[in-house]
Amino acid sequence: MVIGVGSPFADDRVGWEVIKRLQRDELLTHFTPETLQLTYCDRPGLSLIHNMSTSDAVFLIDAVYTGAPPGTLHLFTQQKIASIHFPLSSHGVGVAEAIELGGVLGLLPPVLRLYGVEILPPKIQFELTPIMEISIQQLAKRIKKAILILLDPK
Amino acid sequence: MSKNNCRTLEIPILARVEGEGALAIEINDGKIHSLQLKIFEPPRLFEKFLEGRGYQEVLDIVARICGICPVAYQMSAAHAIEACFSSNPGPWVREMRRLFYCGEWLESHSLHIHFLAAPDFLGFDSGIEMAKHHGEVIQRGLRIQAFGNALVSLLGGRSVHPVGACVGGFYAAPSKSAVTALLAKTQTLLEDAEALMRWVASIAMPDNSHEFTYVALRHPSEYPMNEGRIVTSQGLNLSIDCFDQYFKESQVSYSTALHCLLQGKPYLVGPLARVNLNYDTLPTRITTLIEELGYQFPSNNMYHSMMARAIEIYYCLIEAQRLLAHYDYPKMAAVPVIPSAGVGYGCTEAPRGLLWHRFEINASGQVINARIVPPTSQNQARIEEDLTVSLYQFGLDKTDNLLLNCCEKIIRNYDPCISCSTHFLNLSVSRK
Repeated sequence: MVIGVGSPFADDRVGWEVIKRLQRDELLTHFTPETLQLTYCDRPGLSLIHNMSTSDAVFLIDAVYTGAPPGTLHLFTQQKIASIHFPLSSHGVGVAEAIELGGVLGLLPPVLRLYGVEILPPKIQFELTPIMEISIQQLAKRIKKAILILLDPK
Repeated sequence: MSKNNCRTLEIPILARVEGEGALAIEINDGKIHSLQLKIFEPPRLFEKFLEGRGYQEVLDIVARICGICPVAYQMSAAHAIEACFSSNPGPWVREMRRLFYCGEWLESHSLHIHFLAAPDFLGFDSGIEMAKHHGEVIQRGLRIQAFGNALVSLLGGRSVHPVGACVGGFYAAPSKSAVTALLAKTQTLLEDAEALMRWVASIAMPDNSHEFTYVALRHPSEYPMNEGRIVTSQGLNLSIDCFDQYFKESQVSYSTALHCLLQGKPYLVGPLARVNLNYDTLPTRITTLIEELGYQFPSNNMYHSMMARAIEIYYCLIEAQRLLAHYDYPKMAAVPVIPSAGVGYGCTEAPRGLLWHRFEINASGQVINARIVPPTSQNQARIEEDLTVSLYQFGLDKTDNLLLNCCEKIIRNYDPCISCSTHFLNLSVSRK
């Protein structure tokens, strides 16, 4: 399962945009829904734990803020996720907290990766900044490759 | 603490809150000279945003006032606008709005009990820390919350700022298969709800019982959610149209949020008020359990608010099971609405209490003006009153840290939107 996490505000929607690119990929459309799900959610809070619970492998895509240049692509494993700052969350419960809680409860999938796109703190606007387009394209390619390696190693 | 008899502590900004809040207390010679709870309230801006908007836009706009209780804002607004247009959406919409609200109460109350309130009483800094020692309890809370979100999504399209509700009903009716899938989960969740009440009863709670007024809706034949008259513990019983005659909002100098008083006095809204005023409408299986657990309602112990939320969780699951089991796919998910000029009132029970709306609309269906009185602002004066009483009971000679913990627990009993994070409260105590 690949989940784009975000909100409607500016570059915080970058995870959604990557999912949309993946959904349009012809090769990926050949996988059945039971094998591959490409979905997105808006500030899921603790619901993220439930969303991940039915899959053996989950790739999360979200905007992150680490201080790196905007547009930088990151890959985090479960252990590193707790240290990341996520720009927006619902009532203080964001991706990091949900994953931490899921880990405590033993509810996380065996394979969990977070693909992050570095953004500046989002303003109250809905449009992506132009520099995100290249990052979205690059990240969609990387995730497609990772999906194919996982689901079709041959 | 200073060596003289004066003590002043100020914390100007609350951390990690929705909106901003602060608490300032001045203690002179062992007495509270002043106590100010400062909250900055978004809905004031929403009232202006709504002016000039078409009635069809209102529900999507007000849903964004709050991320945890968007259904409440949509329901109060829908009822107010339909009242203005003299429109009756019919029994199917009425039942589905009730199911919609069940979803919101479930997810809001479960979040509050497990992640905001319970850690206080069990000695943990957060719900995550508590989960390391009470994993099954937290998982149960997550199951209940997830089901609540699923009910909201069933009718609203999604759980965050749902988009499925409209004036007149809903944009689409859920499929029978989706309803059946959720119904199948209710039996296990009912067992969870009973277990939750037993678990809450096992937590040692302080007793800060004192006299105060409480207010809620009351309906002649059901536990109130979307409909009813406004009743108070002092015997008042009035139509929602008469809210303004008894409840007055006023600006206080230290807060951008309005205070609301009932005939000049603070009052409580929320789950404890609802249970106190509607105990006789609860199903027997719930009241039997309440009595077995040794609780008595009406209660004036604000620490019983957690049990009141657990009671409402159990009630919502019983009600949701009933509504899902009797679901029929309708001919229309919404009734046609014809706008007309006038004024309409809507008053429903948000998870945190009474949410009152008044809309004046012109003949073209545009909002001329809107008033929104949320439960969190109604409770502000009551919170200050409670803090004053409770701090005297607790002892003003305690250290600042102990006072901070005491104040946070008291405020969390009210589940205000500002307490969404673990350490929401910045406390200032001035001692002289």
